[in-house]
Amino acid sequence: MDNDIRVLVGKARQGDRAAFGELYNEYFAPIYRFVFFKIKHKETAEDLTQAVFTKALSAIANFSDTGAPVLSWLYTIARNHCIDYYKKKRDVTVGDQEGFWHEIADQVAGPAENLEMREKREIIVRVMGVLSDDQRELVILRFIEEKSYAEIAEILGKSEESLRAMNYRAMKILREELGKMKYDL
Amino acid sequence: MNKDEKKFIKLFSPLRAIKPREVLLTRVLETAGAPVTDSSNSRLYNKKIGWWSLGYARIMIGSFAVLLLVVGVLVARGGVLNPSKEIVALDMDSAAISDMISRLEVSQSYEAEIISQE
Repeated sequence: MDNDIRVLVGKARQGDRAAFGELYNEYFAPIYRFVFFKIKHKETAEDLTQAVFTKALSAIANFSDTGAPVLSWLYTIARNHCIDYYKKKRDVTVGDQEGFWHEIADQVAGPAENLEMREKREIIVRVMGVLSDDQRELVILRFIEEKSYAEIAEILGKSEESLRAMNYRAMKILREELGKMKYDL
Repeated sequence: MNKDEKKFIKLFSPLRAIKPREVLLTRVLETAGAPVTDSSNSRLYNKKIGWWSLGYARIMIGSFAVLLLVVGVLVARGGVLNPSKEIVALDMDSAAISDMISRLEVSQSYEAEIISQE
């Protein structure tokens, strides 16, 4: 854990709202992305991310600094929150997967998008769509958020070995899919 | 992180651009029941909005009260709804009134002169 973050967490545990505010500003976006990819709905993801931080604020006094990053703790809260959300909302229908990934592609696309970027985003859309939920969760944490296996293991509650194996399978599927599109990594 | 993984990181890098709309920290603090003491966050903005709204309402209510008062005075004087001839006459200046009286006196004396000649 970075020293600055460690100091902020220490202050936040003692009730310093400004310190918690800095943690919030630092981590809101990655937690949102994680929730967004799981929930697949922008507004719901924003609400749930807010709820994650509300829960974190209520529980931060009991957060024990074991050396693990506070972000892992937040990811764990977010993951559990998403599971609870799906349990409560049994009637939630899984959205149009293809449509969802295209919506993401639109969000990512900038105004000055060139042909190469457009092609790249179409490829990302296609390959993310072929992964299972577990594989996608791992890919998000590993390739988008660039987390270590140790951190991901802590967040997902799985062993590093099983994650490495899952990542190997995910990369194999991704390579095959990229091959079909004649895209060279 | 091996070479293959780095290639995938590069491939997925555009997804890191996904960001939420600005969600107010205040909402989180309030939902958690925490007292908001940090004036540097959006709470201050909310306060400004609150005071602005209150000030605006005060101006509106004040303006309406003044308008009611003016209309009330005019109605009480009867000058708006029922303007009478007396009030119109009162609006004439004193020079016009004396001119009218002198003309009346002249015509009366002229009439008396004609009667006496007959």
